[in-house]
Amino acid sequence: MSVAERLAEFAAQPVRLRDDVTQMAKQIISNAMALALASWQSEPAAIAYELVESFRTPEQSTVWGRNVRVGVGWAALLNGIAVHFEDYDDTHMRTLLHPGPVIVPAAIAMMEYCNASSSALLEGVAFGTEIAMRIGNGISPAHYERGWHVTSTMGRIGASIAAARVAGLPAERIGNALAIAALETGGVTAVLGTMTKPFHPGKAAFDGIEAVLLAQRGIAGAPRAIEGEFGLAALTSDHVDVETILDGLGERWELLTNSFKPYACGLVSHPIIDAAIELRKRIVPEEIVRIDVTAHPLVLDLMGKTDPQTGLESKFSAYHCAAIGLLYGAGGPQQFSDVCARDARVCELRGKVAFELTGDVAVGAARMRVHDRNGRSEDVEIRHATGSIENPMSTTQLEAKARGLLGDRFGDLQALLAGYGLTS
Amino acid sequence: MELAASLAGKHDRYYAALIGAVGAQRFPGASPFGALMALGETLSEYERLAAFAIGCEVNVRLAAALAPQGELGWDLTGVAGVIGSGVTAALLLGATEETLARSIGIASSMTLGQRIATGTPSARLIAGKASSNGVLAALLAQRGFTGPLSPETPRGLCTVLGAGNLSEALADIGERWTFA
Repeated sequence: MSVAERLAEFAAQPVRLRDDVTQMAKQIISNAMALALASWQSEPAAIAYELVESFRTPEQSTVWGRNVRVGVGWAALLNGIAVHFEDYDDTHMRTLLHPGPVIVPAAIAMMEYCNASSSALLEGVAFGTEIAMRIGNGISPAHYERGWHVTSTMGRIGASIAAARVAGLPAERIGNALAIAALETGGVTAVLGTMTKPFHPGKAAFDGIEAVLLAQRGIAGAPRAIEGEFGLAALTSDHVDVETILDGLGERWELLTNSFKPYACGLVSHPIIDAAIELRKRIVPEEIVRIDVTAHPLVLDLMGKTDPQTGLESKFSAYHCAAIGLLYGAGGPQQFSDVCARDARVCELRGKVAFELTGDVAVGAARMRVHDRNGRSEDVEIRHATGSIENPMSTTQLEAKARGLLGDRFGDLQALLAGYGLTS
Repeated sequence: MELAASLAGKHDRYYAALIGAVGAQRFPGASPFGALMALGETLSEYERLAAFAIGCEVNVRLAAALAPQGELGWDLTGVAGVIGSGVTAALLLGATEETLARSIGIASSMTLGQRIATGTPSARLIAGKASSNGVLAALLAQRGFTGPLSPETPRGLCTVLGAGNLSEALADIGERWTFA
């Protein structure tokens, strides 16, 4: 049996999902939907909507925030852009896949199109996420290191599985949907910082749905699309481990290692914001004269901008992260806005941050010591950042994140979830 | 045909390109042809032919430059075809040089096709999806979408394919025609 056939058989089985898997699927859905409701008016989502509107597609599935219906694939495309716009969603650290912005829009657009149940939706999200992560595991890290954007490549496959499960396809056709999605895999990390970045999960969701609609009508793909010679794995990774993909399938759920982003910036600075929020309770920010941060060298490799001038640049500044954590005790989109990046108090505090880089501190950990003008100092060590596998965000923390994103529009999220038969 | 029947009833520009290219797929310019079917209906015959010919030329030259990747297992109909279609589509939309470049950049992140699919029904999709993805890239670029600067940008298409510089393959483009 080929990898695609084995995974399709797994994704087609009638099953009552374990509670922890169901819980994770619900969290992935509500987190993604909150982000879409916060960003459906963002520039790339608005441009794409105007284009889709000009196509006059059939009214099949809902564009969140607008409450209009467009063609099933197009709804998934638009919702995917909105979910991923702030780069504030969820991450599978082993592969760097963001499941939420691809799997959720695909599963829900298909749910509306087929009039499927909420339990079918949760199963679709669970199986789609699991299989995208597992195939990713078998080709990572070489796949990402080569320059492939995992959310586009593996996301496309996960979207096809999610939509196929929601649509109730039999195993053989799920396998064909997977193979068609694998055939259509593309997407490079040169898109970082451009509108095509959030477009990637949207297009992956679109292609995943299209693959299902074709497979449903009997179009067959290559059974060995993943592991075969001239197949996806061999072509996109220098190190392929097929056993990893199938190991413990159905017993060990990889999706439980999904992590949600507590802060709207690059991951490696999250422990710095955790530390700053903790120290803010013990010291007056206005009295700080110096901030010493000890962190892994990768932190400044990836987030070394000392004086960011825009919100986008500030997402790549560990200096900015320390300052906003100390000043505001939060790291949401407001703390990474253009206004905040140029705020005089933020700029002043950023200038007081000094880094000591050492490989002795893990990526995902940090130490911070702040000194005030009275000669007093306070320090804290963060071993595992909020949102990491060791220190996951709770449902309560995720709800607080959604409230921070949506403010008095939080009720819109609850209403949207309820409309799909889910509670937050 | 099975595949065409599956797509019947879909008439937006994206699917017009897909259906057009699927129909023409034995011809090397299938993907630019799909773009020609989807866009530019108000243009003169000369403008339409020019946009088509230039997209075909880019398609063929890129496919030649990427021949080693084809031997590795990439289906160049999909890989080069997205960009060929993107060029034809952008020209049919009256793109400026800058918009044309953005169309190519966005298209370069929507390539597809591995040769393992050869002989399966799904292989018949490749030229069509390459075409519709190129059309989508050009329509988004026309509306101000940003993307990779070019296929040769760091961590771009050439990087992931392990391909070298493409400029040699494009050096005398416009002086010498290779596709016809």
